[in-house]
Amino acid sequence: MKSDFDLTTAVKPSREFVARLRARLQEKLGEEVSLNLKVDPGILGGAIITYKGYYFNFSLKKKLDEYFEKNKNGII
Amino acid sequence: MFIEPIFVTVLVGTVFLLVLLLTIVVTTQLFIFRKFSEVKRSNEHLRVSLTDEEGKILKKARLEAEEIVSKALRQAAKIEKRAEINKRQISELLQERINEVLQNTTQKIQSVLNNITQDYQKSLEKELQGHLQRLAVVSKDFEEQNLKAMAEELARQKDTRLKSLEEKIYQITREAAFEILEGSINLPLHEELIAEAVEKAVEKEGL
Repeated sequence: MKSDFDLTTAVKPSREFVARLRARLQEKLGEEVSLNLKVDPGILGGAIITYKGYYFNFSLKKKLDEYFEKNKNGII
Repeated sequence: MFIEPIFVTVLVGTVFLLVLLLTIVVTTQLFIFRKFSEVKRSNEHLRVSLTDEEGKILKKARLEAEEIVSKALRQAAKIEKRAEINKRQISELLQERINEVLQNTTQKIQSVLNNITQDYQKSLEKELQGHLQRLAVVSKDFEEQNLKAMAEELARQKDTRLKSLEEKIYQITREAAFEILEGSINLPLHEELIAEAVEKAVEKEGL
């Protein structure tokens, strides 16, 4: 078995970080892990992940958008 | 040779008759010729006489004709002169008449035009007054409605502009926050957030 992770990040992570992340995931999942990295500065931080057909948006941009939308009246 | 006496007698008698007949014929011819000559002379005389008479008549006729023509020419000249005078007089009279008619017609037209103009001016003034009165009423209504509409429009525009302004302020604030956040996150923090995101994804997928 092999798990593929598509990761979109705001900056390009270091090789060491990527290696550590892969090892941690392989340990946790008990199978080989493949990380496909993509950079998009627009997401500000965090990551957008596609894994086993699921889409997860854990970007800072989304969090900020939610915060501003929730507190719009207070901000204005 | 022997000739019968009777024959001689008949022959002589015949000759005698022939001579007699010839004499009668000649005499008659002479008589006729004389008569013819007389008639001829008479005719000649008559012809000469007729020619003279004819000449006299023709001469008289020519003289009379000349007189008639002369009289006619004089009369024609008189008539022509009179006609010329009449023509000039008629022309002058006609011109006077035309002038008179023109003057009268012009005066009539002027009078009618004046009347029409005055009537039209009066009707225009009346219509204008009516329009002004209606306009005053309409203007008042319009002013009231317009003022109300303007006030509403102003309020609506004010509200729209305020909303637009608020939206702009919001967007600017949001973008400023993004920029500040973007510049304030270092690589270790980024990596920590990435790791956290991956952990969450794995946990959520497991659920």
